[in-house]
Amino acid sequence: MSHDPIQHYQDLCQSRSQQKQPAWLRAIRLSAAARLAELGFPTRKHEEWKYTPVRPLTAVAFAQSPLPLSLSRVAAEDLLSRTTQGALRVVIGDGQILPAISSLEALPAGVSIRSLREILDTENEPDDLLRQRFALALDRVGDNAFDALNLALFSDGVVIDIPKNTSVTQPIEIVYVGSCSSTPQIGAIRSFVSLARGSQASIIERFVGLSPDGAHNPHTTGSASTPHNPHTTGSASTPHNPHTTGSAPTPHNPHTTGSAPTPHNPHTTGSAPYFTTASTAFFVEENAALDHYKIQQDDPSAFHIAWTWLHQKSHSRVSTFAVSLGGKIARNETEAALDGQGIETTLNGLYLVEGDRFVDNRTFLDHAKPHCHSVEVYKGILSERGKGTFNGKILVRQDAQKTDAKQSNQALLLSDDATIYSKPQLEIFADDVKCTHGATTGYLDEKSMFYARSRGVPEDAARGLLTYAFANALIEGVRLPALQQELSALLAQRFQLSAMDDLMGLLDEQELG
Amino acid sequence: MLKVSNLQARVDGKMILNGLDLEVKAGEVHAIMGPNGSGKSTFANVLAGHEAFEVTGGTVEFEGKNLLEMEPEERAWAGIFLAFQYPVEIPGVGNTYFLRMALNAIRKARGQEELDSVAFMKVLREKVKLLKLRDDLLKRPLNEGFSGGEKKRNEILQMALLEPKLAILDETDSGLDIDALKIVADGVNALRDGTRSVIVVTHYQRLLDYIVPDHTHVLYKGKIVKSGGKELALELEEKGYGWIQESHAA
Ligand SMILES: Nc1ncnc2c1ncn2[C@@H]1O[C@H](COP(=O)(O)OP(=O)(O)OP(=O)(O)O)[C@@H](O)[C@H]1O
Ligand SMILES: [Mg+2]
Repeated sequence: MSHDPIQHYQDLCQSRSQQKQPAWLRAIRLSAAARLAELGFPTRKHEEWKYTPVRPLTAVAFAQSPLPLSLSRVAAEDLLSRTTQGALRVVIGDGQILPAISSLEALPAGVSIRSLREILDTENEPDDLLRQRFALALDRVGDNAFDALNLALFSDGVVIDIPKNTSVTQPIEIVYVGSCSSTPQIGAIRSFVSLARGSQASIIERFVGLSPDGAHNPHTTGSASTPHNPHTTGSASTPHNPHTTGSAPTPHNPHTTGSAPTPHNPHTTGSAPYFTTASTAFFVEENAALDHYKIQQDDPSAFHIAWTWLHQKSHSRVSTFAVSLGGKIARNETEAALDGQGIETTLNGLYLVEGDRFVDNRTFLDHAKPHCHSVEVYKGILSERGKGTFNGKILVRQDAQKTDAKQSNQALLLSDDATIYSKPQLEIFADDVKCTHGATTGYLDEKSMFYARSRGVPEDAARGLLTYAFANALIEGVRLPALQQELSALLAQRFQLSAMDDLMGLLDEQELG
Repeated sequence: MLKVSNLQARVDGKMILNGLDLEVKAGEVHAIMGPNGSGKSTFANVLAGHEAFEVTGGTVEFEGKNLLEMEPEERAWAGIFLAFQYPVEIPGVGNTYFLRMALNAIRKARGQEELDSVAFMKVLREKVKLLKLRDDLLKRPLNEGFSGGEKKRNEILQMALLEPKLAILDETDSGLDIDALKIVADGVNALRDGTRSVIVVTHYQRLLDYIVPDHTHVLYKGKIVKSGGKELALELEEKGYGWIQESHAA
């Protein structure tokens, strides 16, 4: 029973294309599938995929469930406890929006957050803009086979529109849930976020895994120094199967009727990996400001390939921070097109890789116009047999005089078997520019180690402290306090530091007193 | 308390300390002066246990124990504290968090109960008041972007919290304005209780007006070449090191 991955995805695309949708979209899907067939999956021979182990991913015959993921009450509560407190929330389970646990009611005036699937289902002819954006997406596929796959198969997405001069104070969080069930599931999502002139918003994209018992994996939430995989233990007796029928509290969920046929058997004991592929395009117009956070906490058995596309216009400001904590193989691609003057772009990333995991970071900054400023700082902590890559490309076009671009990748190797491949690429066609890049790979700073130890901190704890500090220096830049505290606490736990009490809070209290 | 005999140390194959002798008794203040590059910071770092400096000969006893066999953190637990000439910046670690971590590590090693946040903040408050430190320095990452003087004051805050038996101040006075100098001196003097000792490494007499030394030594080419009382510091300030160097020219 040999598995032909290309044929498999062609089949999935065929059934996806038979579902109701505008004709132009069907055509785009089929073109994308044809492109995938033409390209085939990348191998180590492809420069862009030189280090990425693609085979473990293509070897799995992922299924695409036509039905939304059903969650028990306990699983849903557990899931929500892992999201950002105080954020507006859209939850996507295995590729489909789950309205019952999303909170889209109390939106600020003019702001709209919609399901892409609903737009495409209900309106025969959605606005031209969406059509244009899909045409652009197809155009951009180039030789990226996985992008083609995503476009051929996406089952839903989030369409967010922030109107002119509107500041959304509450962060908006998209939660992507992948479930480890008996059948390997693929969740393919495509989202579009538009920030009109002078608007402002914070968007969090969070990727989490759901094991068969509905409990989350401790690996991605902090105590990662233990390399055991909870999924290898049997889950036969677990009462909270995420696919359990009938127990979900959501009236919107077809599973709750109990009569809907489930394409994947929810009650078997297996725990297959899932594959999340998400493509999110941000259109940031003149003078608009976006803070974007990608918190990737997928199950350690999962596959993750996702894109962040940033389209920036003049005097806009985007800051994105990609935190990679999970997945067996995770690939983060970020592309920023700086199409205007006076643009500011920050692309930061933090990746923690332990066990046998692999994290691939690719960024591309396209400076097309003069007077733009970009800063890029990536930091990696690799332990055990963890592997990672950083490939950061900066293109400065001929027009882009007075560009100021800074890039650095700093990796900390905590074991001899951990590996980082770092490849900065600068292509500069303008003559009056300031571009710097640097890559450092190394161990903890000896002077700092001595400093901490000379104050009585034991060697192991000092090591933990400095590893924490290395990562936390980036986390201090997170502008959402709840998220910043969460990430700091998660790091502290991972590097076995004592609880981070709210010392600062105490300081403030005493100040008042 | 501290007995250093014929101490020799090198770094990168280069001999820096060439037979240094020094004895510090409980409660005493010793000033060490000497030209740039004579080995003052090297000596201070060797006492604190910096591994970059290889001890090739001699002995150091601290309260009867062989100090040279101890790890840096064990020396801190035993009561040694070095206020660095150039304190490192550690972005990503809150100053207050670090202070608590250090204090609790030392308390734990000494068999004392660790302090919870509230108890810790109370102790910290007292010390901060004594040293007139601004609150925002407590909230900021450890030494990151601190001015030269702020770093030095932060070192003294650490010292005040950790209450060492032997404090070694390596040019803590450099870069301090006159008010800060007095505050630092007050911090050091508050620690003195007749049993705690201090080694003050300095180029200037002015700190010694506030922390009055019992003994002053001149370190030259890795050796103590002259010792005296507090007047020696005055004499050095007046005449420089030339007259000593001349008498030691081989
Ligand atoms: N890590 C090192 N590698 C090489 N040489 C070193 C190192 N550390 C110190 N030295 C050298 O050892 C000598 C003594 O340095 P040290 O810092 O102890 O002098 P110092 O007396 O404290 O001087 P200053 O008054 O300028 O602070 C100097 O020549 C210095 O260059
Ligand atoms: Mg010195």
